[in-house]
Amino acid sequence: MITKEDLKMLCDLSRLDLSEEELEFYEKSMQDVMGLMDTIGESDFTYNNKDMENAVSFSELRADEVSTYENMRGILNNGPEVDDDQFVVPKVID
Amino acid sequence: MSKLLDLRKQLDNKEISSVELTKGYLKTISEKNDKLNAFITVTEELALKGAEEADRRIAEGETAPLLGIPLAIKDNICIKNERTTCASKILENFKPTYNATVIEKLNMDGAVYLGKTNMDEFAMGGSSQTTYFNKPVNPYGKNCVPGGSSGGSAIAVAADMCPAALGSDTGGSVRQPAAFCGVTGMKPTYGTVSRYGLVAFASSLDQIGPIAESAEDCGLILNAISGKDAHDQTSRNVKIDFNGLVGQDIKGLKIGIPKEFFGEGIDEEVKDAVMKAVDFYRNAGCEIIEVSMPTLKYAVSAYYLLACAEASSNLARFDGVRYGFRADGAETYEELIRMTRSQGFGEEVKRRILLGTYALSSGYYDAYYKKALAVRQQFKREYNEIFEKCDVMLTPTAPTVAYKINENVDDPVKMYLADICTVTANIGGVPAINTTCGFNKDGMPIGLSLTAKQFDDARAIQFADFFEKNFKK
Amino acid sequence: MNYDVVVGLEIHAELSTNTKAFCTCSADFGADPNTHICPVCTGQPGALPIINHGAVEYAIRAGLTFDCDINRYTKFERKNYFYPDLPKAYQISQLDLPICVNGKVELSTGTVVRINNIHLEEDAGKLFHDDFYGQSLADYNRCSVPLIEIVTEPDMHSAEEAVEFVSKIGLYLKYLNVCDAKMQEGSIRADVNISIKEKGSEKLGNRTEIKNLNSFRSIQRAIEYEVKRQSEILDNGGTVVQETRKFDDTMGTTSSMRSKENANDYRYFPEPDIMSIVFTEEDIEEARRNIPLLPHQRVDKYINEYGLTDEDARVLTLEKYLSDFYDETVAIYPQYKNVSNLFQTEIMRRVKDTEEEVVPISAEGFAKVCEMTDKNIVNRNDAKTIIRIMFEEGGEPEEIAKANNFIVVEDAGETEKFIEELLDSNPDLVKQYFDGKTNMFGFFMGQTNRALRGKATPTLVRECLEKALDKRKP
Repeated sequence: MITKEDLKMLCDLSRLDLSEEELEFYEKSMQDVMGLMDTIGESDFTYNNKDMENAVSFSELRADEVSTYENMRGILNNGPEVDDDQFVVPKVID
Repeated sequence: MSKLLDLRKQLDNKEISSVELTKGYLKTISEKNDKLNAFITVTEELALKGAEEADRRIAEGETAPLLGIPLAIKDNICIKNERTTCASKILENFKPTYNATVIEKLNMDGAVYLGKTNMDEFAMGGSSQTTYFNKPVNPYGKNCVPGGSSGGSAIAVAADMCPAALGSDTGGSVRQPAAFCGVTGMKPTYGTVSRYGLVAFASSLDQIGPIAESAEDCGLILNAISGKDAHDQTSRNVKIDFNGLVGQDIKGLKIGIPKEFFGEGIDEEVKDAVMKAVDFYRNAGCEIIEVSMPTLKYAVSAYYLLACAEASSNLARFDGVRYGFRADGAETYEELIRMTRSQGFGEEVKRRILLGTYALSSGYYDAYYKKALAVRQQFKREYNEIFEKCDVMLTPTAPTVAYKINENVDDPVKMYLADICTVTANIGGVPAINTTCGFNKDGMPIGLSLTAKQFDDARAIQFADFFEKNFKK
Repeated sequence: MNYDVVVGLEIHAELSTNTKAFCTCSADFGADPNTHICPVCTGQPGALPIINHGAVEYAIRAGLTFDCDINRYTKFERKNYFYPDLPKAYQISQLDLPICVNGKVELSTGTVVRINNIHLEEDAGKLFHDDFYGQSLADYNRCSVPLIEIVTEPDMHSAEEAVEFVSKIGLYLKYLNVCDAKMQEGSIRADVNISIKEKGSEKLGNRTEIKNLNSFRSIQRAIEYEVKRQSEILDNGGTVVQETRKFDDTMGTTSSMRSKENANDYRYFPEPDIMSIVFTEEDIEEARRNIPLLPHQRVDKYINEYGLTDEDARVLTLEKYLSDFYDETVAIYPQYKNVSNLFQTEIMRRVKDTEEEVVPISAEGFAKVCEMTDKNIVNRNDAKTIIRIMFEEGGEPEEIAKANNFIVVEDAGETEKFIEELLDSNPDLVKQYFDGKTNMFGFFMGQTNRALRGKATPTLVRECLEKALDKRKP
């Protein structure tokens, strides 16, 4: 069963902050949902990792030819904070 | 004559101009949208500009199936420089720098865009109530949900705010709101329509599809937007004439009824209406056979595991650095990303991100995600077996009619289980179309679904079209 | 105590394709910030990756060169982590079925380093940390440039072996034309796994991983430091913590990267936006045909076809651009040995220690200098001056030779006259010559050459001198 500690770990992995109240709420709701998900445990099929339906032949891949995007300025204009044509990121702590 | 064919004729005969037509729909939208909340953004300027251009092309003698026809577009499909929110705070003011491939294709035809329609946030939901914006309402009234996630598009067609619309369908998001609003909606075969410019929810399941008044109109739109796209590697190089079988006799064709879709949880009135449709087809000369999809019992869990896993990755890019909402007051990158995402995403989106992260995390991958991958392959086998026996499969589109607006909202399990009838088409990558087969005692529409094998989309349309033109409702 | 050192490597090599791995933006290095970007490589909502045929072929070439098997079905995975230089918050990479598996490379020590796999993935963007404002600036030009990651088994036993492995891989990738392997530009970087174990023991110790080393020197020093650090821990009865560490280039030390980096859960899963790729035998054969002559094959050619010595052949192939320049020169002027000599003495010493990896003069020009020297149109010393001028000022060799009066104009009359006078005024030296002191011939040659510089070729001088001595034969 999914615990509050699991939930905190998932929040860290997905970069979400939940208040204590929200944690309570999601703990209950995630337990219910995982109860439904757990039914898949009864299934017993083997996964084929070389499914031909998801494959294309090598020759179909995109040729290595440059084509320049015409609206780079638009991408920069969408940045919430841009300085010197670069996206501003607050201090990164490694 | 179908709505779009009729409009085509009027436009070509100059009985009406595209500008007049567009202004008419814009007027209806302005009258009804405050109550129904079908649109997040009305793109009046873009619409009128497009209509003028279409009129000029028509005057020059040009014609194309959708030239000058106004459409509504779900708000997760990018139109260059027009706000595309995915009904989320995190993209509240986002304007894409490029057009989705479907928009590029519609532009070539000369279609007109009335606006961007309301939906569940990032298409996550079956009621359209998870939107960050005003909650959309079923035009049949009774304070019911319009279904979802493409609720706005279904409402817009049902309430005559547009003649047709685009939605997207990851687990039933086109077909189920079409069913709830009494219109026709189709999810084509995975890979027939490019996903480029559709903001991803679950990449392996997402497919853009039309919502319209009839199956034939859905086919017209699909003919315009489908085809191999160099921007989407998963798009397939298969040319389909979606209306190629319209009008052809269905006598002697086989309809498969999978018993598992008529079990517990399916509303009796829904069941009755769908079985009446089965009788109709039998009387029309179809052979009705029983088929089986034993894996259906794993469908909902497999679907949510796959969809949420992909979603947790697809939605990781929203960090407040390059576009969209950026939380105030963050001093470090870590704070920025956490604050932006926590403030920017709604409750259901967060739940699905957590669920998907869990399904992929180390120690749980094999038990959840990998199992779901294996179940998906099993579904494809079962679909193959079914379509060796029949031409189409007939099922209800949803277990119930549209429910009340505040029902189910606190019970995600109940919400998820309601997707049971639609998710398998996405898991299997097969085409499926919803059309209206009746109404319950309260007057709420009931939908049936016709599913065909991969790339046999024209067959599903043929059956839905035959029903629409011949069934006495 | 004495320990065995065990080293494994992950080498990241940026591929020199025209376009990025998953979009059509230019993959060139060094452009202004955010001028090689598009919706795909900046992770705009709705954008989708389209895999580059060239990048996949380059990976196959590398795999074939390092003796790998090519998986006939290869697929891509997403590696999920948050960092501001990674716009999608996942890197498209390979885990389950990488393009190349089970290769090997032999080192000069005889050690065979097994390659576990070579997989294709995308690079991240660049962050410029601005300490003054306490912020960073993100440039996405490098984002999605294709990389191959070469993952070895822990088969190396010293810092020297690791450095040799990286340098050999870099050299071969250059010869393959798939990577420019410039460490200073970051186009080749290495992560190093290091552990030590009791001498002769089978049991591997806990390993540490040092990430992102971008020079031979830092690879060498990081390994040496880690071996020393780990040895001290074990000597004192401690246990080495299995962790990721980072190397401080100025201090020459490594330090732990906090638990966060170590606790990363990348949640790999199959990339749904990219189709798996199926290769036919013909696809593989075509990639094989696209592999140019590799260093050891060029050595063979130089020895067997050009008649060079082993040592000359080895020296000429130490750098691809030098070997290429030599090849270009002999294609124009096929005097293999002579070109090799002048090339080694006059070209190689001038470009040694430069970073650009280009010979700044044309092969045509150099071929001309070789030819002029061989045909005694200029003498050897002047040839060196011509090459120096070409390097420093540019210009065509013939024009430089003319402008500096280097062209030898034969004047047999004057030569004979000079030699007669020389011999006549040194009768005792002539006598010594006929008494058996034959090196006197060289003395006369040298005197004449010096005096008649630019007017007589050594061949002419020799002829006249032999004739004049003949006349005086007792």
